[in-house]
Amino acid sequence: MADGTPARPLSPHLQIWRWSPTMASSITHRATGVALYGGTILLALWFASIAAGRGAYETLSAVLGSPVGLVGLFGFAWSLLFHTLNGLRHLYWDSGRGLDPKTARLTSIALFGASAILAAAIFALALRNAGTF
Amino acid sequence: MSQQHHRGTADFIALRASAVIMLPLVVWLLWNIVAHAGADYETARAWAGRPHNAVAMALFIVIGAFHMRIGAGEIVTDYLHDGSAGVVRVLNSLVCLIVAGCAVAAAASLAF
Repeated sequence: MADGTPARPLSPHLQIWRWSPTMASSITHRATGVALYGGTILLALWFASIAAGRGAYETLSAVLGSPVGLVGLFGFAWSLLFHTLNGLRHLYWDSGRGLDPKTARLTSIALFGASAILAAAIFALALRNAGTF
Repeated sequence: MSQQHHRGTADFIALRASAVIMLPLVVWLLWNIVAHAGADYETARAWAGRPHNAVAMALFIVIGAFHMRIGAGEIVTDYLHDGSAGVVRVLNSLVCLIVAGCAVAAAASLAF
């Protein structure tokens, strides 16, 4: 049986499951967690730059205010909102409620919508206050 | 098997406890980003010099670092099964410790 034996099946992974809202929200929770890992490092750098002095602060502010910086900031705001809102859902799940497929599917879709709308609103308000538009 | 497999319950509780503490801090941070976006150095320095702002910012980063160390540890447990896991775990702890230390040092020098 050594020859011609097909490779043992691997456990299903991203490439083989049919995408569903619950699966997408689970993966997005982890992805936004990783993004926030980087974002928190940046936030600490930004906070430290104020202590370091004008030069450091103005250099970092210029980077954050550039088009690439603004995309990064929007990603940070959305990641923070998604991860926080889904964190609340996880706490609710921990109580044993909201776990049936229909509810989990609905809350997953709502989560993507709510986090995107909130992030857009917060970003628009921040840009308005910054005088960018 | 790494040590990680022996403290699942402690990590489970610590991850959720830190998440709950983060909730008001997240609202505070987003509110302050909106209020102070595009601030010049004088404004940012005055803002960070007020003790309640410096303390809230340090708390956000310190508790965030504590939370992300556990979260990243879960990813290591899920995906790294060779010798690199131990090294990555140490690096993860080191990065989180440095980030938290930076925030506390900055808060201390800005407001106290």
